[in-house]
Amino acid sequence: MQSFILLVMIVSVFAGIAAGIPVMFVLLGIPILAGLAGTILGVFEPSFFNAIPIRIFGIMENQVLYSVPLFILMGKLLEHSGLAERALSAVTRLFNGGAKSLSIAVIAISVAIACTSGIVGATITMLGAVALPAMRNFQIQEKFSAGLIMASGSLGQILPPSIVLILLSDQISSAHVTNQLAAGNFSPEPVGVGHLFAGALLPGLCLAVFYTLYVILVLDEPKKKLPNRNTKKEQTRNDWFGLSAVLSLFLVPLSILLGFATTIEAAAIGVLVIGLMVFVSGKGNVLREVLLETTKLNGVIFGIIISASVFSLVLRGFEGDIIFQSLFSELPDGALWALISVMLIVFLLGFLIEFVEITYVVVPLTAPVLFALGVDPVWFAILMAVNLQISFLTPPMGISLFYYKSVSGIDTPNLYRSVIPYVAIQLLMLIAILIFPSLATWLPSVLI
Amino acid sequence: MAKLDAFINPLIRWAELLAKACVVLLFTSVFSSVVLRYLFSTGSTKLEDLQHYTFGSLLLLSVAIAFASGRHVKVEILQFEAHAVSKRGFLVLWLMLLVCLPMGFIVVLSIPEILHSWRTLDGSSELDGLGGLFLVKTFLPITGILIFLIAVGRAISPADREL
Repeated sequence: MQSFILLVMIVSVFAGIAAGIPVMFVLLGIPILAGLAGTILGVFEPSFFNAIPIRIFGIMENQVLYSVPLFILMGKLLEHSGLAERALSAVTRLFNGGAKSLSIAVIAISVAIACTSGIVGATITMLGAVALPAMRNFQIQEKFSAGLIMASGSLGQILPPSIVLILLSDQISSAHVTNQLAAGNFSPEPVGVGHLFAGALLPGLCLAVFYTLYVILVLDEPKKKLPNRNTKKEQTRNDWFGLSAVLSLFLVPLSILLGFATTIEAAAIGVLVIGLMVFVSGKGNVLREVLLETTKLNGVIFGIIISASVFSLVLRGFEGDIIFQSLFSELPDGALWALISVMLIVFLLGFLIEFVEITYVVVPLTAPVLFALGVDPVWFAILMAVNLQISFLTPPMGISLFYYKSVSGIDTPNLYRSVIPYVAIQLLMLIAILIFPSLATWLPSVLI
Repeated sequence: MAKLDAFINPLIRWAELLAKACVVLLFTSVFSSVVLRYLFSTGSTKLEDLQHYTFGSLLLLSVAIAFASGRHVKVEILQFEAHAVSKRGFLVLWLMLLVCLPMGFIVVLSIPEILHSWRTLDGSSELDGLGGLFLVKTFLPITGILIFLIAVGRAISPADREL
């Protein structure tokens, strides 16, 4: 009976999500209903429910998560500042002002924005508004522009300091500590957000380089240059402002990776720097809207974190964790096949649900099993991060697809086709990290 | 319905105002800690507690604000044509079962913890820290009640609103 209710609960969760009910309430409501049914039938210990408020207070006290609202604030300030437009124009002109330069500038600006929080929605909407008209002016294929903007805009989820990595580190570190304690190691080496930031840097930059190579190899160069609407003096001033904005964004991840600042300190400094730029560029009036938008996006993320925490609590109450652990431990050839299976599950789930749900539902179930089998936590985390990066582009639920469609009006078949080369590059990256774990683990071992 | 809206809307505006203030305070307290650490080689437990309290309050309030503005993530893979009455029935059903019931449940579950927190005037775990943690914890039932009321308002609203 216990397994039956568990199965009904999991199937209902997927059905509820697919039916368009907000994910937060599906992950919160269905487990509570299942737990109540289990209590009535005598197969669920009701004292598990008493842990719900304590779990919520635990999330409120989790210092790893304190930086999330500040990174959202930074991203929103950048979105409303108009800095991206200036920076894009400046970087394009820095090369030769042609179609390939513009496309490479799109990647470069995405990498720079990724150095703040890398809010995918903000980046893609911004690039769609700023770069797409210029790309259309160069008569770059609509499909090509779409793929490039979406893939580049999603880089923020792998390049540090990304919200995906912060949330992953929260889950990975607790699974790692639990596993080490269970193995009898009472003073385990911590795996913190810094390890994940350092581990994700190389794969993230590799993806940016591969996208650039793809642009260079595939894009035809029309004999056109970016039009210059301003006087030379104004243009030079705009270009300097744009370039200095881009360079200052790199200070945020650098300060964390080089150990000058903690994640939350870097976030606060980033907010200050971008906030000052917003005021210098005369857009201080956007502050109220930015604060409200920050609050709403914060609510979306933490709503799912809270509800996923309730989901995993009830799952544990039905002994779902034990069932999953036994399933994974029965896989042939131990660690590698278990890891590949988890990656495959995450890849498939990525077609249907978002990264926060995957992070807070799948990682707590799978990470302890994989760590017990000897999988390196940083390696696993970076594989997860790249896999989650793919989920941003895979239809029908890739969040980047929605954002791009809303700004471009592109038809759905072309939208879906446009991401194929980039998903292929990301999959190759995932396989490369699987084969060569040092791509993820080398930099943390050197820097931290 | 209009009466319920007239009651809920000012509450949401207040929650928004408070949440925005929390974002500003969180930034200010973190930045002040940075200044203290790098310029004066010192720290402040009170500022650290302020970060905890503002983050906790923001976290809870923002969930209700996101719900009020229809921002929570939805997927909609299954697109089915249904009569308006059936759609309405489905909406009311999930609002009651998946929003009102769990929120009521969480509010009830949190009451003993909140009462204990008020009785002991729960505060910082550090001696030189800030008091008032019991106020921050109280946002849990407040958020639960706010989401409950918003859901009831949507369920009895004659118009289909974004959720």
